[in-house]
Amino acid sequence: MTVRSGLLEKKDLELDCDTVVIGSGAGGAVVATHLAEAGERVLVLEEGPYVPALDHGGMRQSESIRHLWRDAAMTLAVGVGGGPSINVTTGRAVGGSSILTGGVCFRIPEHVLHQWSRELELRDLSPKGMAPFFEQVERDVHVEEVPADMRSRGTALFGEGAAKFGAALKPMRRNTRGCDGCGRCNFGCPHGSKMSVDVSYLPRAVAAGAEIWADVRVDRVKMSGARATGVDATFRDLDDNKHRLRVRAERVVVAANAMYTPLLLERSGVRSPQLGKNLTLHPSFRVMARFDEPVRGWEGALQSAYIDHYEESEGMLFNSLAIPNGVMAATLPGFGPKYWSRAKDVAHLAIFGGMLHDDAGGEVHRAPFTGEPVMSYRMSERDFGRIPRLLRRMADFWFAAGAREIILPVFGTEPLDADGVARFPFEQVKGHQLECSSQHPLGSCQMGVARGTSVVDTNGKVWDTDNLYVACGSIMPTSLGVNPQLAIMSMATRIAQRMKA
Amino acid sequence: MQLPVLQGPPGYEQLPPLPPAHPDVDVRRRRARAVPPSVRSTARTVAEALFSPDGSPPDAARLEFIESDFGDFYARSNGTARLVLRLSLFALMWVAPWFVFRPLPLSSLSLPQRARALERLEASPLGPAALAVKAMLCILWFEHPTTQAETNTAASCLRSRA
Repeated sequence: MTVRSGLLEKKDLELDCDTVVIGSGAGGAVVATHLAEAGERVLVLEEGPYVPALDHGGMRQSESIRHLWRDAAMTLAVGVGGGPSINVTTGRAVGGSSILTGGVCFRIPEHVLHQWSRELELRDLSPKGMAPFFEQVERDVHVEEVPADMRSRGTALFGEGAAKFGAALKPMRRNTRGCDGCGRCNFGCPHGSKMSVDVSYLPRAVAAGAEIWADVRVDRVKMSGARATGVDATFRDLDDNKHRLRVRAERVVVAANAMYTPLLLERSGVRSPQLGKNLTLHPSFRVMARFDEPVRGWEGALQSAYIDHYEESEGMLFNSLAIPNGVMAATLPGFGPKYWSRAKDVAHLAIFGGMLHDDAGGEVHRAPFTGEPVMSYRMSERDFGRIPRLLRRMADFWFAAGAREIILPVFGTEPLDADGVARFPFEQVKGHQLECSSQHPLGSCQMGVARGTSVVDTNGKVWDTDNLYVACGSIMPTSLGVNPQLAIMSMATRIAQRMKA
Repeated sequence: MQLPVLQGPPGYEQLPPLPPAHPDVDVRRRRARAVPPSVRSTARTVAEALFSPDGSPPDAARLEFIESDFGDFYARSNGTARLVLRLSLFALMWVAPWFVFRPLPLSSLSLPQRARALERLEASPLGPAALAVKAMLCILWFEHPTTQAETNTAASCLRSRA
């Protein structure tokens, strides 16, 4: 059995199965695995290509971006109402974004689950109700704590600075086994050490009889009244001829991420006032620091530690990370000799990320002509007001660790020393001046207890349908405030269990 | 390099990994779209200014490489990415010179003038356009073994694999 590809087919195709799963990422792969292991005939359709796990190491980072990142990492959520526009990066390949994450596995915080179970009346999603699913996924993808000796020098320095302000660095938990600390998880683990779903779940699904098709784009779910009867998809062969794939299925599961799932449901005739609404992004800001010593921030686990000291009270989470040297260099201001004199010392730069636990300010729209998703994001006043505090705090931590200067995520701003930061008018920075990114689009097809205020019910089934389910990050009822990989897998595990029941 | 046998999570070590891909579907061998000459030439124009170490252009061979690799990146990207890059390149080639009061294409300016024009555009509300192109050029530039040697940034892992 291999992973099939639409590229290798030369004619229209018709297939039958019990369940067709659209999307092979953290949600789709998990559902497909559990249903296949329960004896169902499962078909997984993935728009992106298939790259075997051990082939990632043979690609340059820019090759990974051009081939495996959606829109070559240039997807934008357009800022409205004075907020920043946000660069949203996701994966487009067999394994979805899970092959591009840092492997971070946070459980959904208890205070978030309390909000879901008490305020939103999603009773089963309490800390106690979700615990078995977290435990199961943690076993399935081998979640382990990153030891302190795997931290990069930059992460250790940030931790030293934060400690002087009473904020402790905590070890992250990641789905890895045998990580060497090459700092390039975002481009696919070169050693197959990250237990992304193409390494952990999909081999199980295939062993249980599931069939995976890459390079196939689903156009719509076929509906007959309230019943989903299959999907219509298209693919192109090696000569660029277009063909159709028709799938007949007893059940359809959409796991196409928070950008594509709402548009696919809309194209399939699902009508809900909440479709595409309530998108959350976890807007993130990097602050870099220059040290006199070389930091070589790529040596170490790409993400190894975090600070949640301010998460519950101020909605801020600080995450360690590494980004390619070229991207770090690109965020240094300037062009020409002055720029190059700074950029050539890129090994002296350290980086840390600050993430906001945001209000649901985003929306997914359909672009005219192309039909592709376009996201808008209206940052709430509360969240926008947190940015100066977040940036100041990160700058303080860096200087406390001995940084010579810091580079703020504000377009055109020169590097600043401690006096410069003290004088910097953080509160006057406009949204369009901020360089902001997101790796966590969530919540555009929210789960809820009432059809008027949500898109899917507590079992992940689309309201007013018999057998159409959603099992990706789009179902999150609110922002999580933490990296969502484990949350998506756990929710998908729960949905799969409900389907089997 | 000899890669280790892929092993799944505990309990699944004996499970075979997903199989190799058919050679014809290797993403790096796939058909690439045509690249407008202006994309390559604008990328080179910006790279000359960006990576100028001392007011003179960088090594010609490096510029050839980045022009070609930027073209390949463009050719293999999807519609949204190509649109973003085209618009960003247009802004850098045609709008940036206005910031130094020279309504001419960027390529007709001297390297110091280009750098000044691009810096002013970078600090303007068009900053994201500058960042999109600059990020792509910098990733490609810093991946090159020559730059890695110059900047002491060759890829390495914290724990070297035996």
